[in-house]
Amino acid sequence: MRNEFNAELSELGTLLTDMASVAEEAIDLVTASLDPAKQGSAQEALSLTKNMDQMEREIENRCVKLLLKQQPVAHDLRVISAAMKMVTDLQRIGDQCANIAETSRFLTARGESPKLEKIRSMSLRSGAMVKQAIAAYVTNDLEAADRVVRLDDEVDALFLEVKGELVDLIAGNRKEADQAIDLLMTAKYLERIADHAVNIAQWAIYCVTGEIQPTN
Amino acid sequence: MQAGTIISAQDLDLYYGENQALKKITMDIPERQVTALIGPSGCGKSTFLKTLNRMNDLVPNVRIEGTITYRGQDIYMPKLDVTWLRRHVGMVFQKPNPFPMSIYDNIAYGPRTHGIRNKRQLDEIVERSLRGAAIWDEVSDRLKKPALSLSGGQQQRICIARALAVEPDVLLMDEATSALDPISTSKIEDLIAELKKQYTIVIVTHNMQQAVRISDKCAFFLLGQLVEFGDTTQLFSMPKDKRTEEYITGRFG
Repeated sequence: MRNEFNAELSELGTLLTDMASVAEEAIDLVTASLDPAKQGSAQEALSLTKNMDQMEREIENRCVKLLLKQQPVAHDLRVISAAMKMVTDLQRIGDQCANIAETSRFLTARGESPKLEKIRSMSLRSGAMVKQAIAAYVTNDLEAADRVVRLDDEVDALFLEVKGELVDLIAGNRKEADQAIDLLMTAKYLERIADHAVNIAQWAIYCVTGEIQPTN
Repeated sequence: MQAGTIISAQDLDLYYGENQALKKITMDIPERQVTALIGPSGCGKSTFLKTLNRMNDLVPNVRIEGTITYRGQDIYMPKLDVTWLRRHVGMVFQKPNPFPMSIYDNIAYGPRTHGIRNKRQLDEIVERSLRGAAIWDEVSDRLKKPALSLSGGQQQRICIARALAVEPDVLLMDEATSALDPISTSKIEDLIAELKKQYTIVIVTHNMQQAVRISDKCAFFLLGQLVEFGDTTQLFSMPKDKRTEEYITGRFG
């Protein structure tokens, strides 16, 4: 029963998974672009974020069409309304990547940046969180979604460490102060990406439990 | 029984001959709210609705066990005056069924049966009932015309007005909009929202979106059993029973 509707719902999941993969790739690329030798990847990331804008429109259109055609209730309703919320978070992740790409142009113009190691860790974690959050939604996996929510603590902790290091840098060495500010902004953008991944995970939880989680 | 309950069914079994149509139904219907009964054809929802004002008495070989109370009164006790019960618990049917007489006489029929003869009093009742059913403005200038000359949607509101004329407490509606076009349907839905300020309403509907739109509580019946009963929003967003989920999402069977 409802074969066509089931197929459309599963397509919606596939589209969101694709968009999450693109988001993860964009996060990788912009983080790589912080290295002057790989500045070119910023441009690649920007073109991915443009794709993400199109994907967002496509997913939204499908959700509206499904609401209209199927008048969904129960789990179907939760799956579609969650998709509409999650796609906005994914698109915001794209915006944050674009912000990082922009910042990396100024940063790399001044040569190699110090203190990239922890920023790379933040990037790896937040990218993985985005992908895992969408996977949890597609598979109705409550535990996986909970794990994503908990991973955010690690990203937050890394952000504080990065901040501490950069404050020291600014205090001790005026030459690198400019770079330190840009790096701090980059770290903040990554921290925001992880927050969006948490939002997505909370919508995945909503799909299973019907309860909307309190925002942090 | 929950506070605010107007009708309460306890362990209600109903048999048509050998065939058991309702199985151990226990359900408290809240006062001045809209309760919707949903479920596939043959699930027992209309049978249950009809037990609430003993319309099933008219069916041969029907046997009922368990109790139904209306305001604390057992409605199946032997000496109960069924006319009294039906005055308080009125009914509107799927197909508009006005009597083949004038609009005025349709509405005045019930009050006359209950002994009201005074013309001015009847005029008042007719106007109040027609206003209550949101049809006064459409018929006030032709009260002497046959009710059957009206459109289906208007006829159904005449039937609602006729039910209101005897000042009932509870209104039972058995798929009261399924024979109507969308405009008449939404007029009746608006009317139900208005009526619940004064009356308790129990509806049977096959239109699930209608149940979502107009009911406060919703009961899902399946194979003569009450599977789930709760707040409509809860039932349609996060049903507790897998069978409810399957039915309302159209994946049943």
